[in-house]
Amino acid sequence: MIKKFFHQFASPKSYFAIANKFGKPVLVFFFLLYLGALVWGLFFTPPDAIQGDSYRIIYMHVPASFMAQILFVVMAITSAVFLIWKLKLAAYVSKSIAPIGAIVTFFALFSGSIWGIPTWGTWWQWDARITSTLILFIMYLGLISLHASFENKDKADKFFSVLVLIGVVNIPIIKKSVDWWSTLHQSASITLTSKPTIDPVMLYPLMFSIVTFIGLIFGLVVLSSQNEILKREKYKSWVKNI
Amino acid sequence: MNQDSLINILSMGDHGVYVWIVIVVLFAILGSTIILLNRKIRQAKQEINEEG
Repeated sequence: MIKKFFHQFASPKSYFAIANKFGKPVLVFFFLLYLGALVWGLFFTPPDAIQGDSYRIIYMHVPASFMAQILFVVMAITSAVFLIWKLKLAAYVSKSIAPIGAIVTFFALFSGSIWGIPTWGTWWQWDARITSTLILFIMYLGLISLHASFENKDKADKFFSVLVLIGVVNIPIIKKSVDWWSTLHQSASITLTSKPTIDPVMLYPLMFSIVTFIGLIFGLVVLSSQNEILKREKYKSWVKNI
Repeated sequence: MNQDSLINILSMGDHGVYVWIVIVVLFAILGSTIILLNRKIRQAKQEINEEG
């Protein structure tokens, strides 16, 4: 029964029907929640003792940096699923994550650079965290270009998935870069193993902004995957009936 | 809330300009991505209907 359920859900037709029904309401819901998280963080928390008000960029930069990495990991999982079980839907979802990942990574780099001006006195530094994130951004762009360069999209899916699985090695490097090397970028304020080094009055809106941003970006991924399914399945009979 | 305190909140001190730049770029990116994706989906559906 479970196998049947997954088999049904894994068909582009069933996925599209669910995404078409719930995608947009979920996106709007998380967009409004994230807006609430921003208002909380921007206007209802005190300024930082050292950084002043510029620290408020945290409510945009941290969720974006977190999602830039999470999206690549999700892309690696869906790529592995495609290569192992040959599920077409997994390849479509993997491909549709790439442009969203590129946008989110660009924003993470941009917001970090702007934050660097008042706090570090420079908008760019070739330190390990920033450089490895730039590599992540280039990888997203490379994956998009690779897929677009193939006429045969089935072949493109295979090369794309293999490259994602190779590229995912960069994620632990980004995560650990602040511990392995001496970087201008600070080490993590929130970890699973130790108490957060950030005051609760700033931590709660930050956690709320991260959770709601995750929902918002996955809403965008659902929208992007709908577009990918329509492009790739346009000659199938079920698409003509939507 | 009087006008001065509202302006004080919105200006966010000396570095408020950096925060506002990031906010504007974030919403420009999110907004344009949502609009673009919706338009692409609508176009794809239209093409399929015309071909069908």
